[in-house]
Amino acid sequence: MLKLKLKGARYIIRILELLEFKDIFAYPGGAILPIYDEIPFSKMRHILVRHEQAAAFAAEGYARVTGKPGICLATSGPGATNLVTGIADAWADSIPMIAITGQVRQELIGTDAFQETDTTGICTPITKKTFIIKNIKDAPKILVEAYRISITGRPGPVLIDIPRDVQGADIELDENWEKAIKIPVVAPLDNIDNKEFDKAVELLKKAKKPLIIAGHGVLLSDTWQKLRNFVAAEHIPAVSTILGIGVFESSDPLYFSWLGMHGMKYANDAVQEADLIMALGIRFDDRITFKLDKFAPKAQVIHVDIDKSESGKNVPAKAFIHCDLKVFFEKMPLTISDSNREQRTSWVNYMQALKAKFPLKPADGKKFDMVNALSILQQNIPANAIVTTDVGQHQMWSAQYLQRVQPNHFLTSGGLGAMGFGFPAAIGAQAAHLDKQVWAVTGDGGFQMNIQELITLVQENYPVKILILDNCYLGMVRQWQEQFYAKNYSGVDLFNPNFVKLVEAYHLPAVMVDNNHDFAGAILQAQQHDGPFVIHAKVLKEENVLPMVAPGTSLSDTIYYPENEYLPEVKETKSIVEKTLASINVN
Amino acid sequence: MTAILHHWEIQCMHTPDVIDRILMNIRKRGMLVNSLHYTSHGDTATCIIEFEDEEASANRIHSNMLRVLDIVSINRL
Repeated sequence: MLKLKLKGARYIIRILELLEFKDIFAYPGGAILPIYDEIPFSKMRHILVRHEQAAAFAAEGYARVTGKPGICLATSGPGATNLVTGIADAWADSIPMIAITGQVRQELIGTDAFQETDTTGICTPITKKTFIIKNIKDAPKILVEAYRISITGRPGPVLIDIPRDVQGADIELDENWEKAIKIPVVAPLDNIDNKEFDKAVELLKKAKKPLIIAGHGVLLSDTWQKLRNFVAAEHIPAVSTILGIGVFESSDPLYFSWLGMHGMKYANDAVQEADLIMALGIRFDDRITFKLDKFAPKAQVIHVDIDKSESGKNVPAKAFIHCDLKVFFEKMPLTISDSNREQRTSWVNYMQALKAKFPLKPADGKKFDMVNALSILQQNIPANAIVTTDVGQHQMWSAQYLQRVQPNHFLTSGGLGAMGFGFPAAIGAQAAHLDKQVWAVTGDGGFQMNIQELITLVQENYPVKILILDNCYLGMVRQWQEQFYAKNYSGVDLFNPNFVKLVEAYHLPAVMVDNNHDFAGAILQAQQHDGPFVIHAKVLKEENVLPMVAPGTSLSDTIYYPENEYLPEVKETKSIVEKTLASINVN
Repeated sequence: MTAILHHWEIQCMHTPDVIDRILMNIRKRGMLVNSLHYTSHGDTATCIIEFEDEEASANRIHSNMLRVLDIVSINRL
């Protein structure tokens, strides 16, 4: 058989191509130079970020919209440590990602060499697995295994550290070596214990007030349509976590939006009232449970998750079903019957009345605050636009007011809550979907954490639209200082640059707006512009995100809007609904 | 709440990062292990650890360890 000789770096790049990676988010440096020597000859599109953290976030954005692993690449030392926040974010939100880092030559490891860090050691707690390729012959095995691990079970990031001498080593290969590289295909996990499963079926049959909490796992397992069908057939109401946004269309009559710290009051109330919680692909984060002994006090819990470690970790389950949700929905029998149909209908009616009683505050169309701005944005962007957010007040209001129709079209950093996520994640999403409109909704704080990526947009010609909701504050921290630290504002007052001039210096068009009318015009202008565009919206400063569950309390203590914030027609609706609620029997 | 002594026998894959991954769940709580005995058997290994912790906290550590890919089983001795 004919033999051929390849450089290690070429071999690695070719394996990545064979694994069908199309976009790689990366930044060069000394210990990754042999790989960079091959990148110009690769079919993969190399997106040159301006900070490695953005490479990791962009890879996440790519993965979140495609369901495939995102890939990022950096050099050793500071390149690798700069990736860490993005890797941690992928770990927290279970995003498949492969992070590749260069490392100093093997004979230098342990000499405190220039740009040497223990990258695998640093990343161990925030990855599913770390690898060091010590011999170029191991590259295909490790790269394919990393891919498999990143998508198997609960997805997550994998780190591969490659010393520079390995990248530069020669390898002799059979001419048909490429045929051995196969993209891993993973069968859905089925570790169902039949006793637990039967118990769950019985619990659901007997429940009078069952409620589904759908989490990110539904999106990750690609089972939102099965869930929608299940809910419709069973006539059971459902809420989602914030990362589960998109599992239902917001108009679905059985979907009652998302729960949690800034979730809907009616969703929170439903959890506290339910007698059965069916938790699908969730990890019972403290931002939805609060005091564990007061969470869902009347409910028995059925927990379905692909990760065994979630069993009883935070909330004890009456039945834990360990499987992929695909398997669960295939096996789950229909439990609606003449004996529970009426109760379920009554329960759904009750929830609809709760929803009518505690709606989100409607935009008043007057003051220029984030609620009005996001309501206007919602009305003016296509239904299939992808929205990313940063972290803070605008994130919570975006989750409340921006209703995306399709799954995986609302990207947010949920578990880690990493400011700086939104803009680079939008770059990753745009790279994956060049045909779609992508909006990065960010705050004046978070935007400045990865502002340097403006030039990446220009260089790559990605038409991402950026909305900076500028309240001259680190708004969420300020809100907490107002509510829980006697308004002692400390370290939250942002003296900001002239964003328009700054953006223009990056060769992008931008406008500043400070009222609703101009803002609507700016959205149109952004959409008509064939390229990236920035809207700097100067919104009201001291607004608070509500509803809210204060730390140390429970979902039952959800703080709703003060009565005087209501429009007259909402007050009128509330009184009608209260009478309806009183007439519905859900006990 | 009283701390009690825990002895766990962990069956795991014999990989470069597995001891770190076992210990990180204890270390990140600022806790210590009293002893650790690790023996490899080809591709797999047995790791016996002893540490002191309250029952509820130990249960959480157990849950956290189950997320470690290279841990095959945990037997509380």
